[in-house]
Amino acid sequence: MTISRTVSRRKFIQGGLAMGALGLMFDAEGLFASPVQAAGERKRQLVLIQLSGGNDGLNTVIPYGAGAYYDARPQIAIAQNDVLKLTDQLGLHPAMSGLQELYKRSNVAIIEGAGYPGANRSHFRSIEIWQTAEPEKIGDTGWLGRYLDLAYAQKQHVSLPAVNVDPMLPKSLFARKIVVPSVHNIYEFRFRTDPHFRKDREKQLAAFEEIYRDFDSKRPHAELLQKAGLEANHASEQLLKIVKAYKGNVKYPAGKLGDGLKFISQMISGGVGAPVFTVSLDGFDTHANQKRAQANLLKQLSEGLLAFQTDLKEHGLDEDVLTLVFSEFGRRVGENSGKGTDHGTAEPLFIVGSQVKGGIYGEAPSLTSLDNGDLKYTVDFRTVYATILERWLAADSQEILGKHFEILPVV
Amino acid sequence: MPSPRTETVWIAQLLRRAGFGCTPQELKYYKSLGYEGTLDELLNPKNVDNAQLETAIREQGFDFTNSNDLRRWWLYRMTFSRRPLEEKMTLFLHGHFATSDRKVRNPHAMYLQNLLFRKYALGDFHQLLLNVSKDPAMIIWLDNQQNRKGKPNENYAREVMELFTVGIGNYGEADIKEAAKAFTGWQTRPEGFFFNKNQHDNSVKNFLGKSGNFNGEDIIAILVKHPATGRFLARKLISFFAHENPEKSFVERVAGAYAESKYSLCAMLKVIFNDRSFRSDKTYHAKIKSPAELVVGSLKVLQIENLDNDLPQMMGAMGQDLFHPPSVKGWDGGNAWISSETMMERFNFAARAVGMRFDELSATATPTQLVERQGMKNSLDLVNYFCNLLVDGDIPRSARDRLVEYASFDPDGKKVSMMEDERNLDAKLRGLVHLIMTLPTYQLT
Repeated sequence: MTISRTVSRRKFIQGGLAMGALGLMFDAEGLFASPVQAAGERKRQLVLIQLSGGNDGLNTVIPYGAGAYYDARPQIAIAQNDVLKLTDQLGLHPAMSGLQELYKRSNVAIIEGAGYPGANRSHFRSIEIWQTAEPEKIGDTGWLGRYLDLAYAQKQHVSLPAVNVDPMLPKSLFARKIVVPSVHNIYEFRFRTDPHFRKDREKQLAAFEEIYRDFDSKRPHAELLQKAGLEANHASEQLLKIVKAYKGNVKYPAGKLGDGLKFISQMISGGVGAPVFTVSLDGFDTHANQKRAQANLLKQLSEGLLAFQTDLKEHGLDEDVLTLVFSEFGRRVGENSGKGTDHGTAEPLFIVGSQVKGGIYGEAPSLTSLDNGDLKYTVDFRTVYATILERWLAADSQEILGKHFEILPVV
Repeated sequence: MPSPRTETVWIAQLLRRAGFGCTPQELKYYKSLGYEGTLDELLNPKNVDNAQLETAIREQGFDFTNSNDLRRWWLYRMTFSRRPLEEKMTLFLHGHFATSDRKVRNPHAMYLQNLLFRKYALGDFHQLLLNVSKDPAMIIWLDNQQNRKGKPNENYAREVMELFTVGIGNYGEADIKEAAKAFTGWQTRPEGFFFNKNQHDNSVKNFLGKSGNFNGEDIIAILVKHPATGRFLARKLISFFAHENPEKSFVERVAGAYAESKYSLCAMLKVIFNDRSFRSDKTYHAKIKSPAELVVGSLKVLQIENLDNDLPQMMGAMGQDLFHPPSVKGWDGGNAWISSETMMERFNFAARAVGMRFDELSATATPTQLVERQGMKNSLDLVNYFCNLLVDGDIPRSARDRLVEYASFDPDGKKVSMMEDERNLDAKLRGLVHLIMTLPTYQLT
């Protein structure tokens, strides 16, 4: 059909206030009725926190007893007096008093020297290696995606198999069959229609649902879009109810991570029933003027973890949840000229939870026997994944990781 | 699915890929040029008078030190420029040399960088890379300010190879260290680029099998000539403008154009848009629209001319916040645009768009007039008209039937054969357009 219409003179009008009358009043009422999933039996859940950009591990878990640490970092080392001491050799960054408190309660396991053979210093490749658990080749599924595919192998449709609390899905949750929703702002996450026509909203949503359900197109991405569109609407209904029902008094730190952890806590106490939740905190790529930037981020992390554990405990759920904190790599041992650090290798991991056997595991990499200025890793990170899969999620780690790894006694 | 498509379909696709879609009038104009003529005009933006846009922009009085104004300015250009490929390539380059104001914290420097991308959008990649390497926003973004003799900062040296030229696998860690030395002293001052001789390392560098007292210009010249660079750019350009996972031979043809033309981006694009596979099902509706393509394309096809202030934020919520790419790698695009949350944002952008005043419905024609003019007699006519306008009619039969059913109820839920009441017709047309804009096919380009 050709479109013939009169040509209007193109107008250039200052944007903003001229928004159409309907646009201002869009609202999301009249959601489909859908029962919130029952809490069901006690179920173990894993929360994954990704510190994006490459967290400087040596200024996080600080080898304050080693002269080599202070030699390598004349400008950015944390002074001995400021370190929050854990042992006579190691301590936490001064911004991490919340984590120190959890450590004292024996709720934190620190795994030193985590890395993998042939360390890659590209952010993108290294994060992909951590997310796929495949250092040798480029994998197209994530380690948790493979876990979800196995865990839900018998189920037809699961509306919230896991939830990612970031705008973009991390590769750790890429799966063959399962599609994981990403929701970071629950209040924006609702299908809007014209509030003047309540009856029409019902018609529109019903048409949407049926069109999407039966959308049979050969276009390459149509199926992904179809799944994601349906998923979005279903998850929105369910999650809004859960968030509205949540009651809690714990104060989370301001910012993306605090908001994300609070939302995860709401979902856990609301009985979403997903075994995995993921969230990330960005900004760790501290090539220059690292000290203040990293302190702010570590403070958010530490306060967020403490608030999250406290909140879970108040809801009687702390024994069901385990949190793993990781980054794509640690940073160089020596500081650079801009009071920062460049991309490095091994890093400390944190595992937090009431069921954790607290303490320090693994061997802190030597600060003097280096590989081209970088730490030599002492623990393959897949050992930690295998431990979590076997000991926490009761899954077959060998099937998911492709080979056998040692199991650590952390949980 | 071989499908004989008309030249109009391919011209419309060319405008979606080499631009941001078109208004019905623009399509009529480009149809008069034919495919070759349209492509010729797109590839030679300097021949197209854009004075009307520049005047209008001056009248808008954008403040380039304000981050939101900056984003609105660019969205405005994307929507109203008569040189669509120039804007689209500028967007490609912003994703390629992805720099974020989150760290630069200087919208005006971001603005100047954007002008640089536009200047070389269809130009010489060697000159472009040289200017980008000296660009103040880039120097801040990748920490070259801190790259000094004896204390190198490797950030720029790494990314110039990994992301801007040869790609991973074509250099080693030692090459990064050596290249970093060559870029020492490349700094920025308030007045612009500054070569700080005192901080420049004049030692001999061993870089990609060559050695000498290389400076940054030498490293750039080596990288631009490296055969991997042509292939790396070719693959990225094809994935951005045509389709993902291109065949090796296609990549080689486009890389060949890069080498033969001595690094002309225009020459590469010409090969892409003239390729047989571009006008085939391999490309047609085979890519997911970026948020920029979705938003600007919708504004254009619906002829929405009053751009809401918060459109850039809505694009951000869909995953593409202009001047704030997620990392130095830019936007991954493709499947990565899609999550439940970004889908919901797309649906809600559609709700917003149909709530705005748009010509296709109201400014020059009331819904009743439009319906009359198009000779639409029933809900099937309405559905067909908007499906053709918005998705080339490319939807399954079941969806079309279901849309007709939706259109056969008035907004109060009563079944009617044709809406007589203007208010009801208006509401229903908006509801229908909203629904079509939520379809999977509408997310495709």
